[in-house]
Amino acid sequence: MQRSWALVAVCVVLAVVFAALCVFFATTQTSFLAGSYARHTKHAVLFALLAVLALAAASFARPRKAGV
Amino acid sequence: MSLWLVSFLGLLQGATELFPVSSLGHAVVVPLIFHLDFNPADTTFVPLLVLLHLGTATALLVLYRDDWVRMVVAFLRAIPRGEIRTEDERMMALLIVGTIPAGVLGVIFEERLKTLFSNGRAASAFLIVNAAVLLGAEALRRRAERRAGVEGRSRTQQEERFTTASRLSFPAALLVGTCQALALFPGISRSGATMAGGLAAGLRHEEAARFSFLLATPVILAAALLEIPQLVSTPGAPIGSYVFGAVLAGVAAYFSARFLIRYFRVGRLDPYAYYCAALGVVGLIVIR
Repeated sequence: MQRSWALVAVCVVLAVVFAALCVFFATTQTSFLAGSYARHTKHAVLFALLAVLALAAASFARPRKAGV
Repeated sequence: MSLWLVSFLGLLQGATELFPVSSLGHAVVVPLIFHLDFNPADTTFVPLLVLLHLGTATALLVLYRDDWVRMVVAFLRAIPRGEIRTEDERMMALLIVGTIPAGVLGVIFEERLKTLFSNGRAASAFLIVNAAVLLGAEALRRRAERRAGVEGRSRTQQEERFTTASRLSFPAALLVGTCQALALFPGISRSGATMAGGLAAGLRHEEAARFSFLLATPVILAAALLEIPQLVSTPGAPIGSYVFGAVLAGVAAYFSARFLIRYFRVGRLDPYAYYCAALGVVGLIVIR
């Protein structure tokens, strides 16, 4: 996959979405993506990790400087 | 729960977690076949299962501690650089990519699939499916060996035709990691499914086993750590004997991993497939 600022933007947006889902699952009782209606700490941890990984992916997606 | 039963379950868990024979399938089927007083779906046994998994994950961390330290340090240096340069950095990136599917699918579907845990007949059937997965992987490998013209050569020569884990492509790592999610079904082996995926991706048997064990470590560890609140909130659980069981699980897992890495230098998955098929058939016959 080609490095590009567009790809960086996608990764950053994904990181924000994952972070929002993390907060959602940590603070709200829901059955969304879950088997029961409750607050789902595991889901919050999962999306926190995915947010961090998305930011790491954004770093790897940065275009390289010419001549480096 | 008696100490001998905890010890037996600890050794069973530790050994079957890494052998491609499904630890969860054994935890469901074996107690039912031998009429042991143990139901893995019963909430009072959650602390035991948490500690057994911690024991297994600890054993894997100890076995591969040098690899993990090198890979994690290397990858943390690669992130701000934004470029993967070394084999350790690439391996860590492959493990991260491979862990994502199992992590996501596990968190989303685990609760729904938990109802299958106590169904001995379903687990027995999945053990037979596991056997088919292992045999299928070996059949594909043998076909690849024929195409490569190494059929009939020594096993060492045959294995040299295939690649190492650090040379996997990222899509292949994603595929192998997705195979790990199949272990949500009791009876399907985590290590068996990931090894089958690794063989399909062109890995040597030993490399498929090593990649499988490395992939399993964060998933098993995370699953155990996230269940610790349940461990604390189950009053009356004999934590002392459960910890003893966890130590046995760790010891069994450590020596199982060392055996399997040596075995898969030239060994294949077939014997484990036949064992799973036999156990599955016995389970279907005995469990009502």
